[in-house]
Amino acid sequence: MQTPLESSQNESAYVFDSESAAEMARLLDQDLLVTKNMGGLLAERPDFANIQRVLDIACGPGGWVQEVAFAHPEIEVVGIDISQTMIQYARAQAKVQGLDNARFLVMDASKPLDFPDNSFDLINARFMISFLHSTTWPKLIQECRRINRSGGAIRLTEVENGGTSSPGFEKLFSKFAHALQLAGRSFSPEGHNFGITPKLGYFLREAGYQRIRKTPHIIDYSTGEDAHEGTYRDWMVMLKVVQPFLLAMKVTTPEEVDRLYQQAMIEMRAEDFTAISYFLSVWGEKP
Amino acid sequence: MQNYNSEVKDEMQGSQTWRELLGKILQDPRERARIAAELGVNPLTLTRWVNGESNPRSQNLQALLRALPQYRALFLESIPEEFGQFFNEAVVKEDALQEIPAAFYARIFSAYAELPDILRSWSICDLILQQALQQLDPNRVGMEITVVRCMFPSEGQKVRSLRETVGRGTPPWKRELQQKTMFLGAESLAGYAVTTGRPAAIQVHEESQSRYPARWVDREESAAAHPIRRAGYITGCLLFSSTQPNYFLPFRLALIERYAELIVLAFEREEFYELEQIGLGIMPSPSEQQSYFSTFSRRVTDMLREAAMSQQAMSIVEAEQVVWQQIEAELLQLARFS
Repeated sequence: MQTPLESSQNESAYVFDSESAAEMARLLDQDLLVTKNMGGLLAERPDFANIQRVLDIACGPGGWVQEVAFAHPEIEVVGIDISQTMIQYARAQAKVQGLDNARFLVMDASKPLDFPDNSFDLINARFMISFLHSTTWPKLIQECRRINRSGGAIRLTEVENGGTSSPGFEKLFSKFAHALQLAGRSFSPEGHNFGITPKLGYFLREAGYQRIRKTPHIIDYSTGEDAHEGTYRDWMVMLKVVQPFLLAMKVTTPEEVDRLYQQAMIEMRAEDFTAISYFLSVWGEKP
Repeated sequence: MQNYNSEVKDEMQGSQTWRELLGKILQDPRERARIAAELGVNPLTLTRWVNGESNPRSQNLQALLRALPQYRALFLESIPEEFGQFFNEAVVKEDALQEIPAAFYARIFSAYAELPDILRSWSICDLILQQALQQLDPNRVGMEITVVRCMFPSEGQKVRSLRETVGRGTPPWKRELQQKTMFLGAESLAGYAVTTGRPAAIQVHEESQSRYPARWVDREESAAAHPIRRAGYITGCLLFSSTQPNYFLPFRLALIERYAELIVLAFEREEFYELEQIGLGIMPSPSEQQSYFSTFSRRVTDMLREAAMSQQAMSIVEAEQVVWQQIEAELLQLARFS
């Protein structure tokens, strides 16, 4: 298990405790919520036409991989993640569901990927901002291009805070964004947000991908909206498990982070709470 | 038995493949419905396998062997011809699929040992619901699992109702983890399981009038409830709904028992009650309850604001508990008058 201090030094580290059971449950919930709000497993090509082999990078407990494997038994779907625990759990889940076409491998996405050239028709990755150092992004996208088949595609999806009405949440989120900036994981010049979404198209273009398309998505998780409960729980876990990282990066104190957390949880339950998350998916094709 | 087997052998001699054998078995419509339910697949799917229009997953084939033990040897002769050696290996592993995987036990114990109080109960329930759903409904024919809890009783009083707290399902039910709100009482299957301390299953919707109390929801064809027990004390139950009749067969009920034992770790010792402490009332219908929940958030916010103004320390969990108790009292009152 990586400590937060290690995470500030190690390029492949996760700012959360990726082995945490709470984080694992959160990621599986997040997978469902995000997929639904992105219009399905692959809104860019819903029928998965001409796709026989798929890679999901940083698959966590394998939610998206299992969904694709279930919906398309004829497609081989591979998930990779740095966490041995996540991969073991993903394998156990695939086994009880009889998903013979889902495969999970332990692999560090910040290092050269252990796949031959031209291996995959589709490469998918979501929310890599949480573990990838800003200098590693271009290298990883180059690696993706190498293992993408000619005519194949890549889809990257990242998130930014779209804003909320909760002062407690906004203060806590600012500290999180600032800590990410200090750890070299943010692209926001002032550290107010993640700043990753404007970069995605640029990375793909620089790596030689073509026919680049961008699709925005939002999740309105204001009180009363369908996504409120799931997103509230998502933040409830995330803002708790990220606290050791915030303290290690010295952007807050134990007293302050505890007070802001309690404040945010109460404000997010209010009848007049309003909030939006903003996602961007960027699709590119290898010529 | 020998005669029966030889009849089966005779049948097989005329059948060249496992698909043809299955086709003959499915000529009996009752058998067809039973096998479909046991495998958790649509009856049409069975026909597609027989016609070679689609292939079962290895897990389906294993379930087929379980559903037709008298034909096991014959299937094992012909299935590997089509699916190869891997199928024999899969059969060896079959028993393991009827148990909760070790990796999953490890996750729950890790959550129990490491998570802070504020995340522990929720995360354990979340993980267990995710895993139980995958294992009990791998073909996603439609299942919902709900954690039902005893309402915290007032001083010197008995537990008067249960409340659905959290649940998730496969379509037609919602797949996302949901906070639930509905109160249940003696009129429900969950109420029966909690007040008797015994599991209960209704295999066919129509049976409900004669055997157990139940309130059915749309598309629900069979249901099961298993109490969550710790040393004879009870905190609630796990409630299962299926879109398929006869879905809760013995091997699924055995798995449900394992999950009901495991979820004990999500709750504190003081949240369990002796059977004598549980005296459930009758709760109003879901539609009658609905209007009482619309003000929940505002009431919790008001309570927290009042506590802050009077310099009292109150967490959001405590405030929610008080408001749930207020709503419970109002609903019991409503049921009494109606």
